[in-house]
Amino acid sequence: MPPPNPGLFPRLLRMFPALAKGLFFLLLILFITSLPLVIRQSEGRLVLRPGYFLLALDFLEGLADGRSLTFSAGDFRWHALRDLPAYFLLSLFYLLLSCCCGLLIGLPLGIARYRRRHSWGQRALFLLNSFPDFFLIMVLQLTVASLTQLTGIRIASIAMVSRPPLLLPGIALSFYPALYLMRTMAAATHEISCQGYILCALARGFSRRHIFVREILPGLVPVLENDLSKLTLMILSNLFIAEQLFMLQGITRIIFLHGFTQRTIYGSGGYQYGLIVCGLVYVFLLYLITRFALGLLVGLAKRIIIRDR
Amino acid sequence: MTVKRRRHGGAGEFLAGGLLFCLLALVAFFGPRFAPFSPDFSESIRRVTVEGETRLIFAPEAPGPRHPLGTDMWGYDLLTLLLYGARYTLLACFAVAVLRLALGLLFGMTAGLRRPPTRRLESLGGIPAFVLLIFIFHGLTINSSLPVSRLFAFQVVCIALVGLPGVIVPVQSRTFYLARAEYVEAARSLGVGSLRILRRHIFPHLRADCLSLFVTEMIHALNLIGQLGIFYIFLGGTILTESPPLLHSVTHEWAGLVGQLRTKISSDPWLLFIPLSAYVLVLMSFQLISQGLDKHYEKKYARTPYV
Repeated sequence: MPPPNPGLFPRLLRMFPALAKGLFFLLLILFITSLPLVIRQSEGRLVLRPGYFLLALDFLEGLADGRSLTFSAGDFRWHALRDLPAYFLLSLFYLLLSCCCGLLIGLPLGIARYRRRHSWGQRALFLLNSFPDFFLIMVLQLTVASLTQLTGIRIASIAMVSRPPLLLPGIALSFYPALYLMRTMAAATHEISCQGYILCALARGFSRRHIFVREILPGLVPVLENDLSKLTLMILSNLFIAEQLFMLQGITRIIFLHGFTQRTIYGSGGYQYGLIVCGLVYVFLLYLITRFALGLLVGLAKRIIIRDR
Repeated sequence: MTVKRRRHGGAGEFLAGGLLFCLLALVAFFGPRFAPFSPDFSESIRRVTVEGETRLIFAPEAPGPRHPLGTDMWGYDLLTLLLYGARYTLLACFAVAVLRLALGLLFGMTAGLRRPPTRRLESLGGIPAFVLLIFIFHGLTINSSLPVSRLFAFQVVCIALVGLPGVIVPVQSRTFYLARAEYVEAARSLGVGSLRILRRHIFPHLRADCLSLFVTEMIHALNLIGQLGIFYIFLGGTILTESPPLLHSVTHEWAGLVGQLRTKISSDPWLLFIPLSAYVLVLMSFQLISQGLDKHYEKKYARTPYV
């Protein structure tokens, strides 16, 4: 007999923690966006102007008539739902590219080379992992710029002019997730392979391949699952830097290009609360989509490897 | 009979990193005394006479006898800027790590006695730490009227607080694990108070992790300062002039120099290469110490895989 349909209300009740978390993050965005106006300096003193937190109420009121969703970008008037999705999609493209390359390279290499994680090559790679994302991007750009100056041949584009560059951003955005996964998976595989039940399986005469597939791989899935939020945040953080340094017209760059006051710092326009809130909401959406996509992949792996339904 | 000295794992890396760090600390302390120019001295155009012929040299000037590391696009001597900025870079990393470790130990150990760490809000809605810091510092840093020392201290405290969960979580998790040990249970049943348990039974076990955590936090702080520099948020303040549009780091700290010179990547790549190399030297010193410590502990507690 099929289980009874639980109904809409119990389902909503079960979704409540996720909804509450989403609402909390939206409130957090409204709070963070007010900070440049709340924390100021004047006549050599730090000044707090908490009244600016009320901008959030003004923004929410403006949502009804669409006032909060329009803002200026240079000489143009933009609407958050009409003009920002194109930038959002470009960012999403780079994020998904980074996830795919990171997973495809990092996972198998980490698992396959767990015994050699103290080798020189591996150590050098892990050393690079401690270097910040902007360092790798600058080294790539410096190399390409120097080679272009020396040979006169342009190997790759170091910034976005008309078309989004693929090679350098692809390398820069995939490198850190791949390395992080490689490191985590190598450490986890090593840890699992030291457990007593592995020795027991060996003693019972199971082949190395069988132990790997039936004992070690299922142990790696929860490790990966636990790290998904951290991995997603790392990829997003890389995206902020990559869009700034490669001048990619993604959503994170638009926030800094048109959102802030100083003409010469990030671009033109005044401090636009609405644009920054909408931009950060799009960033939150990017986070959710990437996290969901990664979760889906891990869920699939769980079904195949652990046969857990 | 020759006695083979048993070498501890990671000693080489630890020593190399320590030496490099000491050298950088010396540069930070005494550097300004040996700086060839004042940090305010600039020569955007220079007149030189070669074989009776007068020539004009415009900034940025490539490395040469007068300016060993060259000048930036506004004619400031890069070696001088690096020598003056070193102290701010090192001091910021050190202060952030000290604050994080002290507060992290305090909160992590206290919380770890009661419950394990949760990972509920670790993602912060997809907003990276440096973006949050940009929003905090934006109204303060650009053309700030605050004294440099006060702004620097405020920035250091904020950077320390933003990364605090990264220290609290491992400390809390380890404390929670240790607090369930039999000897702690025994002490508790004898009526020993929480404070004494933390001080006498738990803290000695955390001491080994502290140095490792400290160096890791220095690396994190340096990376965070560098990321802020990319968005022109410099430690100690950013000077912005509208016409011509110029951006300067007030303190000339190294990550700030990387940030302000990054726009010259295609026309004068060497200009970015110099502060970036200085930044990497600091990072390498921390990283080598960290690797040495990791290797030491791994060798001490390592187990052998069965397959």
